[in-house]
Amino acid sequence: MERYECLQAIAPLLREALVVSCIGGTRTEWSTLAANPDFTVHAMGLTSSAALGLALALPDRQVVALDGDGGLLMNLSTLTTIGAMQPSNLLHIVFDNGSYESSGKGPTHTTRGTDLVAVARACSYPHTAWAESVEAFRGLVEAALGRRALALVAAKVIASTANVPNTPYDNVEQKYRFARYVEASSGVEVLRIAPPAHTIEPPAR
Amino acid sequence: MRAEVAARIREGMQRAGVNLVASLPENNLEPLVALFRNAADVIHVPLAREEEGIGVCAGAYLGGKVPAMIMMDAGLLACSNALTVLAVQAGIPMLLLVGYSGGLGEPYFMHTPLGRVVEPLLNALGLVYTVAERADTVGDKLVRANTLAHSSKRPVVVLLDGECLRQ
Repeated sequence: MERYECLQAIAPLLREALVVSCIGGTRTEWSTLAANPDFTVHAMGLTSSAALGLALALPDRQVVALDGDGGLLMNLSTLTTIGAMQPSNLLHIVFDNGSYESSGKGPTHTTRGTDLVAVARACSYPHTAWAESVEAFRGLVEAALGRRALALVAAKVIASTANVPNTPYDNVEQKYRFARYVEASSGVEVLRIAPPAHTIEPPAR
Repeated sequence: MRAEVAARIREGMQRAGVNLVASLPENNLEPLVALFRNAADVIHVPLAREEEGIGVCAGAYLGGKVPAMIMMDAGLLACSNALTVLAVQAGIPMLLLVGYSGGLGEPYFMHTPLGRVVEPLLNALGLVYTVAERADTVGDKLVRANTLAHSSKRPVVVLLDGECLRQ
């Protein structure tokens, strides 16, 4: 199973979702499929933490984290925090290629026995599953989106990135695009170019 | 931290518009963290590790919240990469309240190495910070720090020391 064919299968399901992606091939592949601006977390491991913050801030929006095994292993405590907070609007997707694919292709501990779905289940994720095929993956994602409960869907994929164009935005431009999209689609103020009046200091006398 | 000081800090954060707080427990910070645990007007995210909090605050900001984090300086050190690669690189504001252990008055030997590196670390990270030692001015410092965080789109740090941390 390839990550890109999994992403292609679920892209039509995520048109209304707010997507937070990890770095590496996932980011590059998703940027070619995304219907709306997404946000990439370049600090490895913090994808699901940022998705948690976004989900708590916007409980009426579906938030999807596109995570990898290497990043999740680097911040395993995120599973305990997400499990404790139980955001019903967060879908945590993990592509487990058993490899630090973007940084030398060395093996991760999922090739040595760690089962990330079992770990998530032990951290109080109410719905967790491995997808055994692209069709099953699409079905599990569709079910999770319809359920409105915290879920983790994982897929074992081969360590490869599709031959797609690189993402044309740096993280600053991506932030502004994503923030403006959130503002337009959720009716909240994010960028606050004009500060709240009560925080403006009186002129010096 | 005395309950009265914790209440002043809470009031300053409220005045600054903070409406999401991520935290880790610590003995001196506990009276402050306790004020957020069941707060109706603020989302409280109890963390298992400080670095998670930089991600949580970044995501909350992108969702329209005004985020803050409460942690000790040991946790700040653990956040160095996240602050640099996520918050500073993308330009994401957050108010960081950091207990200044290891500084003047520190009675425990094991914390003293932290006190020697906290301010050099903040300077190396390029983060603006201020030290709050007095309860009567800490609220205003928090408001001004958060204003700068949002106008500069960077994390700004308030180091809690003196009566703003200990009895």
